[in-house]
Amino acid sequence: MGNYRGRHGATGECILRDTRHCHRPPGFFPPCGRADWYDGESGSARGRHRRRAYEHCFDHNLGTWRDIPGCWFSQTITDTETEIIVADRGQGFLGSLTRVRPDLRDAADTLRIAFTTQISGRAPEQRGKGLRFILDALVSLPGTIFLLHTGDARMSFQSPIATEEIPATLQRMPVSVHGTYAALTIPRNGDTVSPL
Amino acid sequence: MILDVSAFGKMLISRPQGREAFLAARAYSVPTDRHEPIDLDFRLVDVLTPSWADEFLRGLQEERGTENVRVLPGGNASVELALKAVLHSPTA
Repeated sequence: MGNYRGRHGATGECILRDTRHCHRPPGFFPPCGRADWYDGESGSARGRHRRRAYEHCFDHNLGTWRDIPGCWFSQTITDTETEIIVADRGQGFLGSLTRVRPDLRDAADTLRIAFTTQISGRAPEQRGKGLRFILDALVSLPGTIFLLHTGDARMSFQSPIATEEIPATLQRMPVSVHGTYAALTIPRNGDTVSPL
Repeated sequence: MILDVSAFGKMLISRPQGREAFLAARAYSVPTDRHEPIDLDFRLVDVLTPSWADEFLRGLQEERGTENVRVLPGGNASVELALKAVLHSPTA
């Protein structure tokens, strides 16, 4: 995941509550903007909107982290756009859904299922509506760029785009993400932004 | 199976967090076979409160049966006291 970085350079910080000192997970991300590392136990005084952005990292990985518990969150606001990145080193979409769909074989197929059906790795809890909600919201924001990479599968698109066309943007990538990486860029004042 | 409880954090406090840990464990960490015994290992946990332990243990015990959820010996004073409060409580 170290190949990814925000498009706007700035200083960053990472937080692990257990040790109470700044800590950057080795080899995870280079400095790339205002960013924090959350371990899920930190007192969240940073706003409910942030919590909503990264809480699913914990919902689906608590107890099953690969190596580093927590998630990466960064938010960069410029005159023309807002960029938000959320990433984790969890089990990824495929690992999360194989217990409820043992027939899933690869990350791309899993992403397609996740975004087109109501499904959740947290079954039997009644969940799994969020991704469709996200897509419906994103396609209503002109110029918005969304990128999601998990395993060797990447979904990326720029609105306006019909929701039905989004699964066709799935690609298999030569670089595999051990967990999930999501980047959202929203233009400000209706400006369009350059593609990722 | 042996479940390292510290995978859910080293500071295990509050009832909501315990409930959330149980739900996540049920979905991802414990065997799908409800009759397979689970041995809970608390040795790497720094702080455990009765509220967290109650939600986590009670959830597992209700779903899989008390006889299939066991606690391995070991753990610091916090763990020992919290488990004693929960496991020896008539309401747990």
